Amino acid sequence: MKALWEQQRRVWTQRVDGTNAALFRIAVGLVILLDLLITLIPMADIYYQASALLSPETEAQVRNGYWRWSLLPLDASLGLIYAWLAGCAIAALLTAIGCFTRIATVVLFIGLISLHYQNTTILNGGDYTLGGATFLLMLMQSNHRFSVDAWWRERRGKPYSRWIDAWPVRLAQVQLMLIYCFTALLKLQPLVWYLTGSYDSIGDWAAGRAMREAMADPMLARFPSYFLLPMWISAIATWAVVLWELLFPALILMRRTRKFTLLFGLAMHIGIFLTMEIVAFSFSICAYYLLFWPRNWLPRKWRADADANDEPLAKALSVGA
Amino acid sequence: MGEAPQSSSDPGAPDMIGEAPSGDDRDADPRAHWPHWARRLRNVVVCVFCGATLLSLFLGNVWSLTEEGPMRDALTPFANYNSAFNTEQYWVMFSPNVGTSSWLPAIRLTFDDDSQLVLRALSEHPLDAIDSSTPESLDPNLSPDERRYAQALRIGGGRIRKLEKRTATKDGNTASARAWIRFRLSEHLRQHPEHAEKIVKIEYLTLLIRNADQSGYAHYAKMQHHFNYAPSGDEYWRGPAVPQVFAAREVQR
Repeated sequence: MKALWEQQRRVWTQRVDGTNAALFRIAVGLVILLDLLITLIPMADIYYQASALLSPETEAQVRNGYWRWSLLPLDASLGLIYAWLAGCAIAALLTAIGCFTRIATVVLFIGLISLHYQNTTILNGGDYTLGGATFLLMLMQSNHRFSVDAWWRERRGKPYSRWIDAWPVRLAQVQLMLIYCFTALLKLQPLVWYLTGSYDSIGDWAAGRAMREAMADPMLARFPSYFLLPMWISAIATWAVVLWELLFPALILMRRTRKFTLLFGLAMHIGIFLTMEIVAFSFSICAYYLLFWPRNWLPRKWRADADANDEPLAKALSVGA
Repeated sequence: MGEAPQSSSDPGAPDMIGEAPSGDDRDADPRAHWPHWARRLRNVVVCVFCGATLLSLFLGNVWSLTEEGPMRDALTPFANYNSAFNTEQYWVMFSPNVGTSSWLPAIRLTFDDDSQLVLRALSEHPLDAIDSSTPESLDPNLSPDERRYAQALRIGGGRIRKLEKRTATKDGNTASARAWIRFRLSEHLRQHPEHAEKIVKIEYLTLLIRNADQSGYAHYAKMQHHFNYAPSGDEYWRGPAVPQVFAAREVQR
């Protein structure tokens, strides 16, 4: 018990290489910026006006009774909405380049949460992952590497340490583990309902039909040619995905399986992006992968201990070595 | 939290993501110049915060698995904690089922000369086989080829698709359905202002589209009428007046 406590204490308190957090910051900032520029700003007059697709009654209900909040009033003028979106875009850009990073991430968190609860009917899983990412970024020392802040500090002769507090990084890592694990449990829920007699089928995922149906959905398909996957391919792919999601926390924690886990996830999300129109979800979730990216997959000069002559020790201890 | 860490050169050290060899810079406590009490206070705050956040991330997910009842009520504060920090936990990702069909909204306009026009969802594409703006295209008795859902390359538009699908999946006269009608109808009237005077009836419909089958095509399978819409009865309507369509209570009067 004492050993476990000590291990956990070290996992949460020992400082970690700031490179992963910096890459996470850059990826999250860029994904939010592109999402704002491509999907939100051009359609703002449609999404955020009561005379268009914003339903004030629905959103008032969404906010009522929960701790959801937005600094934007539901009857916000279009001018205010555009100014808000521009502010978010500037904060996302500053976050990506690491300029006034702490302030930028706080503004981005407040800006994004206010936008999200302004019209929840247009949100998707990607928005929720990005929302969580801005909260965690706000807490991370993500500007210690690859940032204007770090460059400025170095010029003034007060460089940042390349090592950062671990706990915000760990929270983000746990967040991704829970996302995958619980989505697998949700997918297998019909099987439980069937076994307890409250449902008449084992569900698309347990039956291996999910991949076939997802590929045949004309609302989602990116390309105008649908094809039905042969059932045996669908079953193998469906079960592989749900098993991988269910075991993600264990697979990513074990050194031997970490690379495989990340590569499988990358391949899956690239496949989803190429075959389905699901906005920025693939990019937003893959941004979290950078927090798990093995140190020995990073260029050596990027690592925090790049100057140290400790290659054998690095090999022994670094992630995925 | 934030304490000077032990050296990780310990051969029995656990594998930790992001962990690397210790060094002077790494082991140096960046808050060494803080007063002792301030460091302790910070550690306690961070500890409590991490514990609360971890618990909420986990139990917020458990909440999403539960159904209405005392268990869900007990877990709601954790879900609320996540909502407040924008870390909401509800990961659908094609679960619990992918499904074999989708609903989309539509509006059927009837004019004073009894002609009709159908306004389709924005995420829908024109039918291959017949003119999708005609009411006949909603006839479920048509042959499968005539009910074929058009195929198109989709780049962008994922948010609108999601909104329309969500709107149409809910039954009845919902606020989100009225918002969709407001937008779709006012856009149409902006392009065809002459129609405003001639419309006598506005019906909100939903269309069921079956996923592609062996033929390689998706098909319209069902049409459902939900309610008649009257702009004059909608406080958020900002389009032109539609004088021949009256709100239900005005008709009763």
